[in-house]
Amino acid sequence: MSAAGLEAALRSLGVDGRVEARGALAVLVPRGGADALAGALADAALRRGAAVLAREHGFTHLALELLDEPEASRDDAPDDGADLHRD
Amino acid sequence: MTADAALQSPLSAALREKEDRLVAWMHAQGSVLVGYSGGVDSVYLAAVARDALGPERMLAVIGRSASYPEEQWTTARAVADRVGIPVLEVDTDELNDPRYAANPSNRCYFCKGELWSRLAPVAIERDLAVVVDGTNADDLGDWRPGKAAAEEAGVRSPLAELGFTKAEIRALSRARGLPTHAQPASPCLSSRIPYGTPVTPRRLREIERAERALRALGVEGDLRVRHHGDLARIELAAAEMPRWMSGAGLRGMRDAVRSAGFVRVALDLRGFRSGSLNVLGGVTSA
Repeated sequence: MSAAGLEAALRSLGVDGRVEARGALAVLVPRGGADALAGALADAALRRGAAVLAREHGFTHLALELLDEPEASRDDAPDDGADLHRD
Repeated sequence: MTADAALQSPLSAALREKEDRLVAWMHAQGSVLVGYSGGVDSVYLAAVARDALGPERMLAVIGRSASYPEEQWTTARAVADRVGIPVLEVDTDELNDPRYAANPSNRCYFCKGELWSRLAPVAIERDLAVVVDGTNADDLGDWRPGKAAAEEAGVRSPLAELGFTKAEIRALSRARGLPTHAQPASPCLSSRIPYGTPVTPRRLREIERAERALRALGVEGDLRVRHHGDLARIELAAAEMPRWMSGAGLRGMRDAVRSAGFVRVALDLRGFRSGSLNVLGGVTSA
């Protein structure tokens, strides 16, 4: 699984965000907040394309984090691939 | 037959004949205890049993478990009242079984083992000849370790044995006027917790509250809130996705799920997938 590879591949689709790997689940943390991607991801074809890319990079699931503020303004953003399963 | 076709076409002669075979099967047993959840399959099975055998020779039994939302039992009782199905409720306690609570990939085996161990004595006490469940023919292809527990307990699955598919059960339910004919599947809340993460009452209640909050917001159709520790992953029906893919829609869902106790909320971009955590856990393929 490659979070960095998926991140770059998604960027080529116009989907900009940091990818956090939680096992086979990829969490897309949008840099501009979820609002910034909501319009683009309303397109079912784009969502399908993103999911295909996730599979190609070894992830079975891709989920968009619903942030309340843009990612850049969060000072607790973890490194790529960090194990964030805190429960 | 697809689900849509089954729901839209008039009941075929073949389907009526199939139901006749189910009625004959019931007559051959003489009396039955139906494991009853209030879902599409068990409501249909109980309704056919009641009509075939009469209310004195059948009983639908709800195994009340903490791993189901409270609304499930309210709905199950209401449907039984409306359809005229006699119902008994018994409590089950699988959460206190460490083999279940550890949440292995065969978790359902321990849950169903507990369920049938509570229901079998009721059948004996009430002199009911056979215990049946609502497993259908489509279920046989899925990862269902609970089926082994049913077989070990001698539970019969007439819908599966006679080849009823889910689409056919929905069509026959609609023809009978059963309110459940279009009801989405409602597996237990533990199915929202990845294998290996212990099933606890707190996690179950967080999931229950989150799904209830999303329903209150207006989410329709299939819905699952998957529990990934501090993060909740929402799976919506494909038809629902466009309605919620806006800034306001996403914010509404996020706030609803956070109110249930989750720190982080994410929306799955593929939407609802039955058995999603089986795929994530490597039990089945994508």
